[in-house]
Amino acid sequence: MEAANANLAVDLTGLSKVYGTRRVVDSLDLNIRRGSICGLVGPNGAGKTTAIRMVLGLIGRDEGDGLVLGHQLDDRIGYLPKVGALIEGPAFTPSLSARKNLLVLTRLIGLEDTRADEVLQQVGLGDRMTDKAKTYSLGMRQRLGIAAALLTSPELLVLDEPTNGLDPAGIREIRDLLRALADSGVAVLVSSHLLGELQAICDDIVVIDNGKVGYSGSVQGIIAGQSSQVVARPADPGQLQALQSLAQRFGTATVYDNGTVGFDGEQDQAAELNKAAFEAGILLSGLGIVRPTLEQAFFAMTEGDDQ
Amino acid sequence: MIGVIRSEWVKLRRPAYLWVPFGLTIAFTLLFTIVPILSAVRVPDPKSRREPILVSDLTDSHGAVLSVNAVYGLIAMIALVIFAAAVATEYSNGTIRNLLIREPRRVRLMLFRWLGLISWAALLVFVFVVVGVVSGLVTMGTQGYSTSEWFGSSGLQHIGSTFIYLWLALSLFATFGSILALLLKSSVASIGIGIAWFLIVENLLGALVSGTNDWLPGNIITSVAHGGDDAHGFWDGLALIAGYIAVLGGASLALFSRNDVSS
Repeated sequence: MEAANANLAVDLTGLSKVYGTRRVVDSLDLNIRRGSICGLVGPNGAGKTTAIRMVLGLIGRDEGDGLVLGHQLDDRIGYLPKVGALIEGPAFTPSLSARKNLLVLTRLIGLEDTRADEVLQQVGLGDRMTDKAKTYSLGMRQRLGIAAALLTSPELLVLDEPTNGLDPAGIREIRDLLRALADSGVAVLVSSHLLGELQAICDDIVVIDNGKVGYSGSVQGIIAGQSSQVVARPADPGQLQALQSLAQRFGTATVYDNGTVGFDGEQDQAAELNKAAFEAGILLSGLGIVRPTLEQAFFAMTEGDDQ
Repeated sequence: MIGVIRSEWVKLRRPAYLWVPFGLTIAFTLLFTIVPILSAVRVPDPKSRREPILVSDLTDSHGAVLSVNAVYGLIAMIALVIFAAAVATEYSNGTIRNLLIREPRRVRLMLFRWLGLISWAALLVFVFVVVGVVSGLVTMGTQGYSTSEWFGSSGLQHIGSTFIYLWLALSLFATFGSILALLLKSSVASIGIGIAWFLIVENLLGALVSGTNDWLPGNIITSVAHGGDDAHGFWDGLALIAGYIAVLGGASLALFSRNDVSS
């Protein structure tokens, strides 16, 4: 079994967690390839964090089995030393410096103290490592949390909202860091609500809704299930209804609040609409194709289910 | 697992866990050492209602640790506060997750953390005894009282045994604090209940219900602190309180090892 799944850092089947009568996680299958970044998305309360907690052994599971880094899920002593995690936000002792907060962990797991300095440099906190954690901004605490997750040079990195509070430059740095780690063979599991960010960095995506997997596969795969939209804007806002009527011949056309008309279509339909509008005396001030996004796919999948 | 103890000491070196409790301990010890020596009398005043402190007691071989024994109850409560806070703040800060992800053997983690706290208590008692003896020595000198008996073989034995007894007693009181913190996951609740139990509830129970004094944990620990007394011999008391801790500590560790840890 282990040999058959050697390329999978996480290979879990039927993971379930029940609180009272509510199945918070319901028969979740989770596969994460080594050297890939997998995004975990879902509405609030969908079961993302509960699933991660089960993988990290913070909470027990009611059903399910599988392997993490080649070890049975119950063998946490076997796999957790090779796992780095930032879950439910960075947690530190506020009155200790960033470095001392990491020394608490390096000494716990028997690493050299210099490892703390290395990871702090890696996440850009080298100049502020002696400052107390309570003086850190949200973004800096987030970096510190990522530094803590990197301490053990993990084979599996689990990050819950890693870019929360980071500025755009910081987000790009973390994105590059995660990509570099994945390229070096680390399996990365990222849970986030920033769907655009996940689309930018993830190879695979798992959508959880009401505790169940709605989609599991490549990011391209989920987006491919969505259509591109042709979006046109009349130069004269008074011609919006006329443009909508014209667009109806290509499919169901919708008038949007921003003064545009849109329908599912590709470049050919856009060209035809342009021609038809010109012939009908409607001058277009804008015409374009909006490619489908992860966000679009996510809402299409979860719409109406969010509590 | 020495790493767990070293890790714990990174946190225990914070001012709130080092300077504040050690400062309070030194202040209390100085107060309870100097004032009694200054107010000691050679011959008791028959008209006085107060129990006098006699110079003959102070110059005796156990005189070096008289003040230390008198103030240990306060220091024990400081240790209880520190043990409870050290355990409970891991929950309030969320850092318990960091620890458990790195060391999934929960019982082992908590036992070695406790050993780290016990080593902290040893340092506290060492400072406590040294400050008590040194300040006593100086104050006795200013009053012209002899301290030669303090450093005879019997005196040194008193100092050594007092260190051991008080370390045990402080650690036992404080262990109740950490057990409460593990169960309640709250500094305020565990400290409040712990102190209220030992300072108020036990005294009320002892006064109102006859026979309970011999079984209340605070009283038993006090027997241990004094190396045994009329109620319990040292070893009897130690065995009895070890039983309490085995039951309560075992139950709390069993819950801790199985319970979900989530914020």
